[in-house]
Amino acid sequence: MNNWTPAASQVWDEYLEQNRARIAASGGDVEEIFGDLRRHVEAELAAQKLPIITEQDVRQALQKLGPLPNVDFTPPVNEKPKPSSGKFTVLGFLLLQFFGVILPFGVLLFELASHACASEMFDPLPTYFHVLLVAVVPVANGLAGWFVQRRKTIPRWLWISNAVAFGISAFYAILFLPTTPFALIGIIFLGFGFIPLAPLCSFLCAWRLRHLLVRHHPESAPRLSRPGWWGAMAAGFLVLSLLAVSTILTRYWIREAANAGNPNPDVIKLLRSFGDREVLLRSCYGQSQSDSFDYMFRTAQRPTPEAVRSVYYRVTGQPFNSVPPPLNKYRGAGQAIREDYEWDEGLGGEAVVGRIKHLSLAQSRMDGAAKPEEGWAYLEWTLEFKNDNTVQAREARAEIQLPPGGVVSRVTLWINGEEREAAFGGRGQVREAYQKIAVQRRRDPVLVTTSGSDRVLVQCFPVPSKGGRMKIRLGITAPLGILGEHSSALRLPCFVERNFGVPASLEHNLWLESPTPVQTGLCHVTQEAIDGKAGVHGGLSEHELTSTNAVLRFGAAPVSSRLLAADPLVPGQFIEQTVTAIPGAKPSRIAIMLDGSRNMTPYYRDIASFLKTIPTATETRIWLEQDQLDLIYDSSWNQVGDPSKRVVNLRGEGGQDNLQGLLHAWDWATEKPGGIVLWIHADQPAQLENFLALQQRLDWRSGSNAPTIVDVPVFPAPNRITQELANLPTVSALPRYGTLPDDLNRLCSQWFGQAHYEYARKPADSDGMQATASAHIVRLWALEQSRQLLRNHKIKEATDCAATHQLVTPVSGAVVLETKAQYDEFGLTPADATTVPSVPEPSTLILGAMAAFAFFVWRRRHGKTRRQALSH
Amino acid sequence: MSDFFDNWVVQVRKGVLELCILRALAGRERYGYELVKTLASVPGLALTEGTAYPLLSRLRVAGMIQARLEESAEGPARKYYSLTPEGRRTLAVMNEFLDKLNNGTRSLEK
Repeated sequence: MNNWTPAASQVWDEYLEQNRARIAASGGDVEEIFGDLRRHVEAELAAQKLPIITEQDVRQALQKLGPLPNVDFTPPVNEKPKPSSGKFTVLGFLLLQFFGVILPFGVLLFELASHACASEMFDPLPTYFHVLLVAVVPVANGLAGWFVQRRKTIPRWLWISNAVAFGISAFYAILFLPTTPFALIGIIFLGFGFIPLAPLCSFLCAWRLRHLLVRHHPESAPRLSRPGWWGAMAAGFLVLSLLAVSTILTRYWIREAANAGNPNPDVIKLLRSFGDREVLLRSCYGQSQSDSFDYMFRTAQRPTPEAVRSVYYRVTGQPFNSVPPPLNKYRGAGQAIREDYEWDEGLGGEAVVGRIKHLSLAQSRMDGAAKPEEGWAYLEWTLEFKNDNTVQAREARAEIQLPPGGVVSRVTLWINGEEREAAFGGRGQVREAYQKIAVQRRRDPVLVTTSGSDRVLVQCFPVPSKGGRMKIRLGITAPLGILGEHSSALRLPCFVERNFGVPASLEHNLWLESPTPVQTGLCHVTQEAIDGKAGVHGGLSEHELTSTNAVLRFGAAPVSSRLLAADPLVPGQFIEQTVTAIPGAKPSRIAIMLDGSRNMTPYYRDIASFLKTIPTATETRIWLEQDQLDLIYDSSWNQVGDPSKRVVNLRGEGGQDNLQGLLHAWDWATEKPGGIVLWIHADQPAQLENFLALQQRLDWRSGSNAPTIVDVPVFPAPNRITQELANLPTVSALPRYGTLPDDLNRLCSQWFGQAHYEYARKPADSDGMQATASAHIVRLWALEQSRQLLRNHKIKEATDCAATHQLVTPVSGAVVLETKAQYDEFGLTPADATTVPSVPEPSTLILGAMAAFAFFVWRRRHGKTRRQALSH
Repeated sequence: MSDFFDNWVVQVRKGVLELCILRALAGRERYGYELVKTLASVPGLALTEGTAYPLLSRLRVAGMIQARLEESAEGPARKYYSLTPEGRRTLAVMNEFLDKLNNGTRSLEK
């Protein structure tokens, strides 16, 4: 009718309206008859090949059509007309509406609100796209029913929507097929169970509606040809199937990787390229019930969350708890309740484990003093945790990277506004006290133990629910790194791993004073010098605190000093500190083990520039671990050229286990006395392979000829390998006082000529010299002494030394309990407030307080005596 | 007489229209326009084109015939009609009945 004039169309429309009643009385389908008449008229006019159809042409065609029948279609007497098999009865319509529209729509809303299926079996609506697809079914069924009921001409899109709804409901009908028998039993015996049957009902209704559409409107059925209808149906089915395939394959690959002792690198690569990261992360938390089809194929080989966490690291290169925990496992009304009751699997344990929702760091401040002339700094890091869980108290856990050579020398907990100092004791002793008091009796302790070299694990429980807070303070004594004759540095402590969130807006408030100027690269920190005192203060973001800029530099160092400090906890003992220049020791071999993890990518250029500084005459090999171990450089290779070229364009992938490479590097380095293993790596949050092979080597070769493993983390991150190797003399961490190139070049300079400075501390006689140096020097000596005793297997002596000097070492820890009775129960004694360090130094503070108190008392007595004298 | 005859013809046409349509489709399927033109050309049937379509629709609803729409390059889409199995059975019964009736009425003249 494209070439009809408006007047011609009007004539046609008038004709239809005039004859509608007559046609309806003829017993046929009105719309069908009108359609036939239209086609007939169009065929007549088309035969005339008229360019434009005018009103007159239409009138002539209608005249030729002749009168419409005036036929009475009266059924025979005593015989009711048989209803057409395609007739849409009222009951049929209502049933179709209920089972095809109301039931599926109601079930969709119910699942969105309660997630009953997601929590008990699997999540049928894992994404909003799934929700949209499922919503198509009741909408399409409803529209189809309306069109059939109203006997309207069927548009093409309705056929397509019917086909898509058919495909979608078919998918879910298959998915819920195993539950169908139980649903039927529920309906028969209990009167409910329609919910699992909703997909099957929708499927049957969609099929019935298609049948009705074809029967009632056959002339429009071919608008969507048979292959087209089935194609649209298949599209609806396949979209959901493809979405599920990704999940199914991810689950399968996770099982393959996690259940194998040494995962196939190809499986890891498949997970990296095609795996569903959300599924992988959920599996790290043991949330494995959330996937379609998975519940149908459950086996006894489900991997443990611990095994999956290793896989997560290998695939992504990140620890699983470095990203927020998966959201929306329980959506809707039950979400808050279920999340509040989620069990903290790491409670009272010896690892940080996963992130806890609603637990966060509320406030943070760092107060400190440094004395570069004596080579030490003391920081007090006050942390306040907050728990917004509505039901459960939570444990806050964090692994903290201390400044190089640092030690925790004070732990304080606020209880009802009062400061309580920690007791220092054997590591096992304090942990037992913590677990019994905190975990079992749910009282208020804090526990601090070491967690590798220069790292401590802090645990405090319970952080009360409903917005409750818990405040602690860690005192950290650290030696300043001597960078030159007049230069020293302090790396600020930072979180390496934590189970609580740190809001983006939170700032770590830093205030540190020093008698010598302080410089820093931190952006929002003010450097000042007033009245002979220098200092820095300002707010640092969490990111800044972990960056290479979190270093304070001082314009002095105790290079030419001999200092004597009195031991405040062992009367009569004095500790002497000197600084010795150690000449560089050229390594016989340098075995470099490079981590091929994803997080290493930004650092390969820096490493390449460092490699250029190594003299070409030095025997050097470089291994790279990237899903497999490769020797990428050997100085003995002919025509190899610059080793930096092998490294500069590297790109990291996933997470890599470096143990195998360390073994190779160590084996090669040990062939000659004086070898060095330089291990440059990112995070190593999982101990992926058998660690004992490396430990065995280090146990057997620990003398002066044994190779030294220099641990070079490119940024502060968890490291399960060095955690096990802490306190071994042949393993040392490269102190990080700057960027990676700066620190590596400093190391290289020390190897090849430039002397470096080391502290030497030992007990000494006073020899008439005044012991004016700080007690921190004593603490640092005690730390070294305890470690040395431990290496010599003198555990008790090491523990006594550490506990006496109130230090957290590999053999000792600190715990704050609530009452004296609790301390007595475990044979612990809290530190005396006068013996713990503080900012400023306690001796100054107490002297001042004592002087003030003495003056006050004298004033009162003097005043009383005068009054008595006057009264007499 | 002519009035009597005319009325009788009208009644006879009413009775045989459906039979004619079924017979027209017995051999092969036909599209609507062709079928209507063919029926309109049957002498004595006096079927108007406008009358045919309601009949066709009624027969389809009764399940005697079926229809399909096919796009045509030469003009509007064509609707093709064919007999259903039920329609064939009905046609056979109707033919048999008509033969019997015809033979019966002829035997009345003897």
